[in-house]
Amino acid sequence: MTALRRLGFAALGIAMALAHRSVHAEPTPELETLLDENIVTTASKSAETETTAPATSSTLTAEDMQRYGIHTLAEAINYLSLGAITFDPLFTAEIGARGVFLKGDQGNHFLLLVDGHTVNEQLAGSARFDHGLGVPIELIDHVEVILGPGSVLYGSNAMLGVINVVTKRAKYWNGAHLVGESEFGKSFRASAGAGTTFRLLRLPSELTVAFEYYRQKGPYFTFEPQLYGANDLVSGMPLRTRREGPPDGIWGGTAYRSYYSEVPAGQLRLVTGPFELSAHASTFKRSAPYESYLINRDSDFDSPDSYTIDRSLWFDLKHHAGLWEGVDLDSRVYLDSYDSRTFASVSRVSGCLHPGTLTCYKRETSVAQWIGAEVQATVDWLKTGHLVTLFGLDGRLRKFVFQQDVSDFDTGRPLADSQGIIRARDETLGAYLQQTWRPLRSLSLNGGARYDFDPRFSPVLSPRLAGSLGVWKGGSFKLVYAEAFRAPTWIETSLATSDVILADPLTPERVRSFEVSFDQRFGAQRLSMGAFRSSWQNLVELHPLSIDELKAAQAQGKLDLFKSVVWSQYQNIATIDDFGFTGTYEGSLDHDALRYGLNVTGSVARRNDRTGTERPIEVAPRFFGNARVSYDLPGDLPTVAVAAQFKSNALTDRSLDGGWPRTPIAPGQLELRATISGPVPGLRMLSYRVSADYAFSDRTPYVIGLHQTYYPTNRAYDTWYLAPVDTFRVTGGLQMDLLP
Amino acid sequence: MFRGGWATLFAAAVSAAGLSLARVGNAELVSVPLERQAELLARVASYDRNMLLRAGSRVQVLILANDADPDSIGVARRMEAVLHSIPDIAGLAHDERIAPFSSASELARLCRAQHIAIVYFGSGFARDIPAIRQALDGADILTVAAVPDYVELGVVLGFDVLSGRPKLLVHLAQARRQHVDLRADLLKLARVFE
Repeated sequence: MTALRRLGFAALGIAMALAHRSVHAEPTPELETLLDENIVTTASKSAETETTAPATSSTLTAEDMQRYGIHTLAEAINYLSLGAITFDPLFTAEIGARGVFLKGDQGNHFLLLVDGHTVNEQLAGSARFDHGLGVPIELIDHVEVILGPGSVLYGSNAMLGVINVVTKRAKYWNGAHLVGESEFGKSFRASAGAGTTFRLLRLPSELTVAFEYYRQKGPYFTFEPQLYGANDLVSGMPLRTRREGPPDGIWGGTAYRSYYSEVPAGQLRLVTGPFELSAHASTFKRSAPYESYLINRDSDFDSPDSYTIDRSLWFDLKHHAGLWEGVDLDSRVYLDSYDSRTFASVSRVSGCLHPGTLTCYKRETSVAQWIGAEVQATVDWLKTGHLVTLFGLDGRLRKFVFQQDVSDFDTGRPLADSQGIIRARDETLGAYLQQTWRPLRSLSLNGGARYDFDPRFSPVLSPRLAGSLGVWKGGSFKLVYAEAFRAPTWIETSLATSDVILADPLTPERVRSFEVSFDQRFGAQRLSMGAFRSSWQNLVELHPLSIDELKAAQAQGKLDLFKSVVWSQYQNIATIDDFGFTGTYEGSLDHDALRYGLNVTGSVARRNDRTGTERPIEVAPRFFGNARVSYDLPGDLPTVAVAAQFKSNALTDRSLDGGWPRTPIAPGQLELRATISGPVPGLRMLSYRVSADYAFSDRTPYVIGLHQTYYPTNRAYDTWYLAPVDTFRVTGGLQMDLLP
Repeated sequence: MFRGGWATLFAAAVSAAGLSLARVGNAELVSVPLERQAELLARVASYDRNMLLRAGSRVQVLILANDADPDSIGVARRMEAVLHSIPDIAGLAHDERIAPFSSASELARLCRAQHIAIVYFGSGFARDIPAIRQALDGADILTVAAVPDYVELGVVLGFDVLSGRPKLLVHLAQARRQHVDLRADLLKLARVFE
């Protein structure tokens, strides 16, 4: 008998044994079905089952994050969610969904919430999905990923969807919790947290608090040498790509010093009676080991002094009151402060342009502070929950600061006046209304709209209509039409520098989406299939001006052609048409000991610009998804789990504007992760988790280094290079739970 | 174009604070939708070995509301409507009605007199549950809570959302005291309090 046949018989035997145990497993399939269906609160701002929620959603649970060795929100999205995907360009995770991926977006088109609090900063709209989120993974109870336009209740940025990170309540995280984890030789993480329930002012209260420190250095990537292939345009010497040594016109080598990150963070939630206070503080410092047109532009190779540091601090105070029978009032006030500073050490003369200075130190400073209040009333007209109106107001006062500076790296002496200065304040207001109606037990309807006011644009209306119909036992259909918008950021509307022209009036980006899905549950099994089509308009991009556009701008006095050779301007420039499908199968057997799941997404997305040129979208894979299986061995034996994420090949981020005769394509990716976790035998308070990752492809779709575009007259630029992947990683950690 | 933003924002904030503070209460959290609670209750009741004996031919469900708490009244009325649409509880026909809560002893008397099989507590009872638990010691009744926190205080069955999914909560010691005999296979699915 061959080994393969033996393996086949063994697998068959295990399957039969499991099936036998499953048949004899009590509770009824109906009860399992009821207990296995997720409860979501993000789609309509009220608790409801996934089937009736007015959107396609997936819930990433703490249990799954533990068993599949998840360390960050970005990993959870890749290994567990439906329809969304992230990339790690070794700097800050980028996110897309259902075929739409906007390069350099930094989460600007996904609204990210932590316990319902918006964490996208208000100057550039970015959000962090990696360690920069600053919420310890152990503190997360579950994550709701809502796909599709969500502006109807949340306003700007919710174009691809809304992600809500829900933290644990104290009674399920009681006691003290200590975690130490290391990606051996590359990073370590330590966190300490506690949860407790008590009475404060005679009101039942609870407190959860957690602190985390994460630090990563390496791995040390080696980059193939990239020749500049010509002398520096200004100095006439070979291009200087590092501070040390003579200029040699070569970028590359091993980056020992420039790939690092550091995140100290704290998160708190205090609930006292009807009040809930959340607070968050974090710092996220990181450096990428390469330069590209998006990251570390023009900076020296392997410079540890080229980095970005974000700081985030926010408070959110909520209150719930039942005013009269069937009438509830929820109100909250919130205060956010965010700042970001990006530093780049630039030694190439054409990038520094200050005689007598070896290295320019460029600094970009962004500050956004905002305070807001939201009032939301719910009226249950029939007092049966069948006809409920929700309406609310969300107002914000915002303050922004942005500027770019350059100084001498060695002396700290300023080399020029600040430029790109933005000093602004504004007020925004959103008013929303949502009506739900359940005329039948199996029919649920949801309609609503939100009107957003921003002093820079005409008001924006974001409607949504949704309906779900139970057609037979465990089976339901859902239809959703929704619109969403993204207000152009203050950077996009107001930035003017030596190479960026002040934008002409911009209009908000819009997306319209229609989707249909079918969901069938049978016991602990669930099959879901969906199809979607979305249409995006007015997408804002930094557009390199053509000769004709430059002439027109100069004629209007908007630029001085002698100050720069390349000029750009933020413009409403593109549209996207996107359609595709999603599919999910998940379930469990053997009293939930064996769990498995599969999510797939396929899409065709085409981008159009004003010239009428239709192109696919860069970076976005047409087909992606994840699969997972785990088994809880009995007693103190561990849980063993294997998860996979896969992405089809894709255009690189410079495939369409790089001008290469041969289009750069990034290979597809398959990443496997095996995890073993469980209690340490004999020490009930101590548990362990060890995981190993292997990525089959060693490249991401991001073009790095000097060769960002093709130059027909310079043969050195015939080749492009893609950002590397850390293909093999082993992570191990211990957790101590000290129960009161 | 939006004007007077400061004024609007602060008016909204002040109004919210004023309205909210005017009605400070406990705002006890009902985390699982009532429709799902009713479906779970109907299924879980069949795992109580004494339910058929207790209920007879029809299950009598008493839904308690705290008259001083608008939330509580709302929860009770919605639960009544939802239960009404449920075809059976533990395979039996059922009747449900709302009653105001006066005292724990009166509740115990009412349950005995009216052959109540299930008592469902709306919100607004956190301070009364310990006394109710004592009053129902020895009674033959399944108590169920809309608010998950009540289970720790002594209600036999409750529902919460844990890891994004509904979770059954069972106070096993109180279940025994109230002659609720839940099957072991159900308890495997529940978070058990002693």
